Amino acid sequence: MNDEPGGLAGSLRELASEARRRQGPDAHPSPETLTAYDAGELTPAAAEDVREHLAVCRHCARLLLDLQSLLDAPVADLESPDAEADASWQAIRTRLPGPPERAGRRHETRGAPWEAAAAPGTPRRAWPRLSVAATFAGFVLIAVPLWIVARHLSSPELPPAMLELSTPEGHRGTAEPPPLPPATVHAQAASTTLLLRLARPQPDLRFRVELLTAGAATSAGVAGAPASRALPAPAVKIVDSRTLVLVLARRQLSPGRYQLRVLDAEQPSAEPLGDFQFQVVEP
Amino acid sequence: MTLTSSATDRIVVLVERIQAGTDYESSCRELYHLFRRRVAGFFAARGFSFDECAGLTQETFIRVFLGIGRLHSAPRFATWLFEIAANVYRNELRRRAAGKRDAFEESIEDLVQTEAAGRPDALPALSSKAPDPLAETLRRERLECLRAELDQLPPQMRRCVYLRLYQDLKYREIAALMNISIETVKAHLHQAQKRLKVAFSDRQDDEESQGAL
Repeated sequence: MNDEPGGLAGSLRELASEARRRQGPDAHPSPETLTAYDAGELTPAAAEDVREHLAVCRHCARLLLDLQSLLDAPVADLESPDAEADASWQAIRTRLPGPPERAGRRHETRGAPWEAAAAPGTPRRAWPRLSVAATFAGFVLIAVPLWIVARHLSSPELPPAMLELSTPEGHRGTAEPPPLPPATVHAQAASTTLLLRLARPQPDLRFRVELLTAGAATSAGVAGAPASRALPAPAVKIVDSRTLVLVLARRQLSPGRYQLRVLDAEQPSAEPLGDFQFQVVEP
Repeated sequence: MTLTSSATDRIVVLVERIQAGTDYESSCRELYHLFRRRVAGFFAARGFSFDECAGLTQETFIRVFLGIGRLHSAPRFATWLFEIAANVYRNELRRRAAGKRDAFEESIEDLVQTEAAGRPDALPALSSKAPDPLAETLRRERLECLRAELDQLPPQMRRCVYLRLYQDLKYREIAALMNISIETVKAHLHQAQKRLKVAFSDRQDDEESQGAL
């Protein structure tokens, strides 16, 4: 083997060693883009960009190779529940978010008024003896309210969304934390799941969540803290000692800016465990 | 994906049940058992401890069950699941990087120099290991020349060289990443080696350059 430093092999090794010490690219394609590339679903130009990135990014190359091997795994390896798996499942089971709202169901409830409104001729055929005027009046009386309801329901509903809100670590205790841009919640989203990441854990899992808007506050009590009835309290689930999940239904909050404050239920006057800003907007 | 059709069908049935809210918990449980080892293995391969893997796997599945209503194609569940695992991994890296940025780091070399500067009788802490300036200049020039040669290779050939050289990947891994055959990878690397040898012919003889790639 040629180990001469000035030789081609030696020089290539030096070059490789330098390249490994250098930091990779700052921006990376998302896992979704990588899998789409792998499935041949990207445009030729986008695929070329990913190829070029993979050539110089050890992190993404390794990630894609792992995703490929995970997806190529034989099915026999997949099924093997055991006692340890059952124990870990129990930990997840208590944190299951519950059955999701199904798009099809929403469609059905939205679709029915449209169908009724779109079939004005059917009643006329069923009641041939009615005069034209009576039919028309009946049609107007039924169809107009249905049209209004249907129009309201079919206003562009956005798919369910999930936002992860974090309190910046390392700034806790300073007088003035740096302002974070508020996360944006679309009022039209079918539901918005807010994943709240706390600055520090609360091992006893006793949280008190306050929702503040325009100077008013409503509290969602969790694990013993009483829930306020002043405003519809958001459903809060505890994921772990540092993570809470809060689900906002469609149009649950009117447009505006809001603040979510997570407190230790035992010491509500202490420094908040998390302080999150978000705004609700109409698209 | 090389799942058998019956396995794929089973996964589709489970996903659709969860989305419909029928047999919700048992379906979630079965999906979890089907995939949890692979997800945990994904994190373990990235150097996380056993406990960290358990936590990240749990977070992945909670996100999966939170977002499963948005999954439009049930047969694509496995791909979607591992995309979520990859996102959880990246978020964890970002979180750790943020924690690291806030920490104060000081290198041992700096500490030695600071201590020595405070004491007039201090001996030089370390002898200089800097290379001879002329040799260093020649080395830099040689590497720059080689880098320029690499950059002039055709794109696909250059990427194969980068993946082999910089990332130390196997032929089959390069082929899988670039969506080309192993034979094409070998041919590219062979061609690249020939071209680089020509560029280096005035420095070293051909025999010494064998096995560079």
